Amino acid sequence: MTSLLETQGLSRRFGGLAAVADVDFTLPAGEIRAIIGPNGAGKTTFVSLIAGRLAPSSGMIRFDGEEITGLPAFRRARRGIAYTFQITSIFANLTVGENVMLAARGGRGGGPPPERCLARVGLEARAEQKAGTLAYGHQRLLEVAMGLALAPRLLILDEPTQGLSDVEIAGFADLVRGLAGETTILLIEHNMQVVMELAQRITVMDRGAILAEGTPAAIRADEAVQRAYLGSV
Amino acid sequence: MSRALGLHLAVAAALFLAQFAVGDYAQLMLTRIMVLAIYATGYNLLFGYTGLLSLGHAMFFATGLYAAALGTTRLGLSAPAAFLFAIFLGVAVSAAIGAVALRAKGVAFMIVTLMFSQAFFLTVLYFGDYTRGDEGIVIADTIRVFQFLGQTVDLTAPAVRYNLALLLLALAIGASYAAVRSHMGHVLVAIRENEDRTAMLGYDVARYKLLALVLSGTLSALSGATYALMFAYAGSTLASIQYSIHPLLWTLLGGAATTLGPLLGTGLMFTLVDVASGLTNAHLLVVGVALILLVLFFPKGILGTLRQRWLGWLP
Repeated sequence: MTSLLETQGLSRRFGGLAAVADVDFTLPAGEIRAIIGPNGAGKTTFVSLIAGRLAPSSGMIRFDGEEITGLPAFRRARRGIAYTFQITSIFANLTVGENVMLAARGGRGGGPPPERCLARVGLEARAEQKAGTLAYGHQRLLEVAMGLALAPRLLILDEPTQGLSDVEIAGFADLVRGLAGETTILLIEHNMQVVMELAQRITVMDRGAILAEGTPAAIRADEAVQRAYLGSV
Repeated sequence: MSRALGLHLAVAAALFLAQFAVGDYAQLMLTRIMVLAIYATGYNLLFGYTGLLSLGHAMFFATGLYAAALGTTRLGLSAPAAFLFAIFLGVAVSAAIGAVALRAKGVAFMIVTLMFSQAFFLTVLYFGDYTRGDEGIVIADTIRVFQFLGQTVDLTAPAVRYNLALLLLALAIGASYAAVRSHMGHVLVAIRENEDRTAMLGYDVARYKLLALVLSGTLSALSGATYALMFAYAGSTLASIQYSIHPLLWTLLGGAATTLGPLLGTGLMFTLVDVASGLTNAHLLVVGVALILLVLFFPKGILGTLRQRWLGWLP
């Protein structure tokens, strides 16, 4: 299988702290990959480097065979890298429909029509509502609808289930499973049940480096991972 | 016809009819308000919709003002030619300033625009031989009567000034209304609400911000040129920091990010100053108290608060 995303020696230092240190990472097209690790392991920094929200201190990022290390974030988005934020960041003063329309007309174009994206997350009846007045769970779903409208080739989900109820989490997991095959997904997630259920492979980060990588079963059995992170699980 | 469009047309009609109902003094004041409301409308595009607070818009206003005044008195341009010259310079100056100032964000952007504007102000004073400093340039009446499309336009006639100001204001508000309802307008609001996120949707945020600044600066220059030609005067006070603060206050008073807020705010502030200075020497005190009451009861400006509470459809 060809790799969609590849990093070589990717590093990002904040002063003396190496938040991401010399990471070599490969993500094949079509995979659902979870990144897990303790707080401060560098997960969000790592995906921010990929999305272009942060510039790397050193190293190289290749997307679909082309180097994108120096590209600004909006150009990466146009090539098909979508990033949904850890903190909900919809545009509160625009309507739900306008939010999705912005995503549909940004990105690389050619995505599904905005109405279809809304229908897919079950928000089609709320298109005229101001996004800021949605309940929290619905705001997260709107984020996903915007992600779909971008028609991404790589969808980065940063802690998507944070703050959701169990029912909402189950619905969200179904949604992600439905996307498999259409797009490649990079998922940062703390909820281990969601990770084990969705991910085909798991990358474990600790102190800015990759500690282990493998199938959910192999990761669960890995002793180093257990020591660093899973603890009593 | 939508309610929003109807409201805009009703306001234009009311302003048109007002000239037959008011005296000479009020007519002149309304003319002045309408010309400066163009300035506030331009300011609002950048501040209200795009979320960029500039403390240096007087330089764009004064660019138009001096382009018109120097264009007619020094370069021998006719009034319409000087007006076009002013708009051209408005585009050029705001594009050049924007290219540099927009590299700064937040408070730094405020400071950079303030510094550029102060440099502009000091330049005006430095070249006092041409600009006549705070004494100002007076444009002769002969220049203000000109031929345009076969018609004689007499800017010394109050009724002509009034209706021309109304026409230009209507065009400015119409342009701003069309802009904020367009896709571009939505992108600008998205930048105001979350710049990072907008970039991650594939929008070239820097380009959109520059576009907003150029639109805003050009409307400001248009207002400045109109001011100079209509009131026959261009002085350095109009390039001072005070004239950078004015459009901010007017916009805040009427309601930032509402299409009619800048006009309402400009009108109210002028009326307030006028009434207060008739009552007391300390008219600024009255203005200050009014602003405090505004912040307490209408934190989003008059139209902004009305929209939030009752009139959700206001653009």
